[in-house]
Amino acid sequence: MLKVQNVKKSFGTNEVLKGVSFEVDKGDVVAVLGASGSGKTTLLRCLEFFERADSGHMELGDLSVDLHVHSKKTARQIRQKTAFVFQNYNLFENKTALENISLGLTAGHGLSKKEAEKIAAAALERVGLSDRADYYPCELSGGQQQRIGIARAVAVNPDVIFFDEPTSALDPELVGEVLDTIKALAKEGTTMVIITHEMAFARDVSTKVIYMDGGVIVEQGPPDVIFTKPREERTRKFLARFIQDFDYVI
Amino acid sequence: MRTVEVEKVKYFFIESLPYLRVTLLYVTVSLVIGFMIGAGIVCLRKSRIKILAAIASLYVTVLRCTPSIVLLFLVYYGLPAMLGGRVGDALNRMSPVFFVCITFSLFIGASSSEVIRSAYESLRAGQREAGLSVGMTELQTFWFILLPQMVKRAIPNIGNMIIFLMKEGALAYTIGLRDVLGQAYYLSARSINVYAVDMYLALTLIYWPVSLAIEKLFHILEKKMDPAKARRSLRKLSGGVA
Repeated sequence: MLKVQNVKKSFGTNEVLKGVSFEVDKGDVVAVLGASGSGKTTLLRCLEFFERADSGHMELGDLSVDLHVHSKKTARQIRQKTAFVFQNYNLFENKTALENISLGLTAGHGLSKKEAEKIAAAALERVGLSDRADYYPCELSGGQQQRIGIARAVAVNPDVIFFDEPTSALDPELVGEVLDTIKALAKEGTTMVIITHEMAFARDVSTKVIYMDGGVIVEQGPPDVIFTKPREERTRKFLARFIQDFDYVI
Repeated sequence: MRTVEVEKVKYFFIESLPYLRVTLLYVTVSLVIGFMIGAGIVCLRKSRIKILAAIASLYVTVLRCTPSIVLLFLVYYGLPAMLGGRVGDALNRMSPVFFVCITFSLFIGASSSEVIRSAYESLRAGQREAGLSVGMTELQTFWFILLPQMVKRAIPNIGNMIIFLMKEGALAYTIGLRDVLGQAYYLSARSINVYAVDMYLALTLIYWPVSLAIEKLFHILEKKMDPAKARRSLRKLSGGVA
């Protein structure tokens, strides 16, 4: 359903992505792992057209786009079929929780206000925050803000949701509630690509794991393979560093 | 020595007060046009064409370093002379308030560009991306998300600008503007400035309350613009039940 081919991106002389290709099927939950600076975030930002890739190609459903040469219109078409959950939540500070969700539906997708509010209320319910509908972002905890960020993404009914380290900015005690929310989405068959450092979570939830290092995909495969018997030495080293006390060699 | 006569103060006060409408006129016009210029300057400074960005920066620097009375004279005497011919003649027949509006629009253009820029930059870039990610256009994102927050952040500065304009406008009596001060000077001159102290006292009695009122108004406006804050204080009032 989503096919990404040969994405390259440099910032100045720093080559961040050196030709990345991967595929995502409907219902897949892809966990993207890798140390900071390995190009994970840049990759997702290129796919959402926040950065212009130097080259690369993307197919989403029946849309086919060059990641370097594209019109504003095609970028918007892709964005209407995808959604993005940010590390820093990036909620609209001048809007309530409910409006944060409904604005994307009215302005971004042309729904009527009434319909949008109905969907937004359902999305809030899904992330367990119905009682916070009238609250402004500054009145909510980080975990609640991120759950609303997720509800905002889910509400537009995208083909795929990109998560850029959704729990990295959270206090440790708030990580759980956000991960649980994402887990619930995974159970319902939502297609997601998630950059994360939560290894146990990645192993639990994903249907596919991608390990990136130095701007390339070192290894990809099902989680039980990657976490228990990775082929590449680099993957092994990375996982060992992250999960010292973890039973990844069973 | 002569003491202040309450009757005279009252006379100056009552006779000058209606001319607040002139003040109101040039303050409003200068703010509106000034902010348009300011928005243009911000766009130019952000533009990729280096020369345009440089010109916009230069404009801001030059205007900030020019005393208002100098610019006022340059506009009032300089502009018609520079343009000459028919246009110059036409300009010469314009009322002083016209030139005051031009002068202060130019000033507000420079200072508001800084206000707009800082309001814009204080917003997290992420909100723009979030708007785009749910399928909104750049324009929708700006209109629904960024602009309202920029206005909110700019409000204290707009209040300051209005007070600044009101006071700086007093200088404009030098080119014959009949605002509050101009009118008071005119009346005072008719009595060969014998009652100058009474006049200044009357002026103070006009400027102070108006400035205070504007300050208060903008405080209220600032609070009103922050619904979360407004509601929090409401919750406190109703016994802290969230």
